[in-house]
Amino acid sequence: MRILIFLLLLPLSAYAGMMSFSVSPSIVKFETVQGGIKAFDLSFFNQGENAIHVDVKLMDLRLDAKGVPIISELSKNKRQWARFVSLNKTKFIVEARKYEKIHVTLNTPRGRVGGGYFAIVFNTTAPKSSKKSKHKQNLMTIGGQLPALFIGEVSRTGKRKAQIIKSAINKAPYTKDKPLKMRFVLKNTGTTHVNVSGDVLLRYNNKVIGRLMLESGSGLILPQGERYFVASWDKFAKYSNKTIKAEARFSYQGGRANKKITFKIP
Amino acid sequence: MNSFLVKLKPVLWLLLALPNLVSAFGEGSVDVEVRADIHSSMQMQWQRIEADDFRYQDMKNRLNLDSGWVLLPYGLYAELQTNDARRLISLRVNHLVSTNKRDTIGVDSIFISHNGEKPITATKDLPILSVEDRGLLKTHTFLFVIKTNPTQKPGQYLANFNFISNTLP
Repeated sequence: MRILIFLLLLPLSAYAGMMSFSVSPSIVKFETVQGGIKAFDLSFFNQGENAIHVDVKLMDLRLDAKGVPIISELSKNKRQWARFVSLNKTKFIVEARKYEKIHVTLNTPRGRVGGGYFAIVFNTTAPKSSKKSKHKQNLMTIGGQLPALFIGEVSRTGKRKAQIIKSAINKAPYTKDKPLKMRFVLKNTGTTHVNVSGDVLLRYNNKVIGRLMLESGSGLILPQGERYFVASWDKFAKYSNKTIKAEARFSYQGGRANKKITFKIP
Repeated sequence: MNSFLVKLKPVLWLLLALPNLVSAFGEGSVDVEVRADIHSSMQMQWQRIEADDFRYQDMKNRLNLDSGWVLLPYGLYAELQTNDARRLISLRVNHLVSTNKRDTIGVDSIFISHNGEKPITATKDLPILSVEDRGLLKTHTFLFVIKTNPTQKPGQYLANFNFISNTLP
């Protein structure tokens, strides 16, 4: 193993750089029709001082329970439309302070209903070191990745439905730094995406004692996806040893979801 | 003529004084519409740090590695800043590939020490900029540790790091 260490030590060269680029728009929401052709333009702008090598890839798009995009390899999932998309260029070099336009064409599949999603990912390679290495190989490369997210739907064909599948309260004791938190998990059981917002109504002795917003960014949930919603309550001390009824109320275009929970504050 | 001037005097005084009176009443009395487009931007700078760099030495001194663990003799220093409240950045480490492209050291054998913390697996992307960091200049120092095993072959290896940017939809 010593040999390994020495060999890794050999080819070091100073490496410094920066990257500054943007893709516009970063999120595209659209509606289409079955069998229709939809065209989009994306702009890649290199704001840096060096040329950037760009490699563009079509990928699947999902969201995790916190709403963070998960970009993965192409699949044949019926909600993933990347395989119906074509790009006019996939590899190019963008000089400093220049931009490049990429034409995106979606051939909307026939017979599909509901939502369809994909991501166009821009993989960039960092400019080479300004200092020349004594060795031919540069043993460290640094790159960047920036996706443009496409969230689409075949017009008026999607079914919107969301269900609360989990609800929980964090463990006592509660303090100012660790307040009582109510967590709910919502699942999109429909065929298209929904933007959900919600609140929690707190009751004691059938009297409303508070209303808390359930927070989770834009509240976007893709079909078959789940999302966490959290509400914090810092006025719990007043209701020590009392039983509180909480009603979570979620709403989205075309529907509602409610859930009641009861808990006792220690 | 005199009576005309006397009548004109308050009118002239009012006309001259009006702009000053308006500003004297403060912002609330004037409607000013300002429109500005602020585009999302992301600035990233990085630097490879060598074993003799004080940042490398500082972080290395905080690590307590057992035998069988090898600290790569270089690290990565990065500065990030964004004005975008929906932007997330993470660091992705790929397999180390030998320069002859025959051998690899799997990412499951690579661990990252982030700002001198205990090394964590590089199999998952490491978040380095979250939505709470909007507007802040975030600085990070990364050291890379390899868990050695007998199947790894000595040689020159190419390390590949990626900054993964994501926007919350």
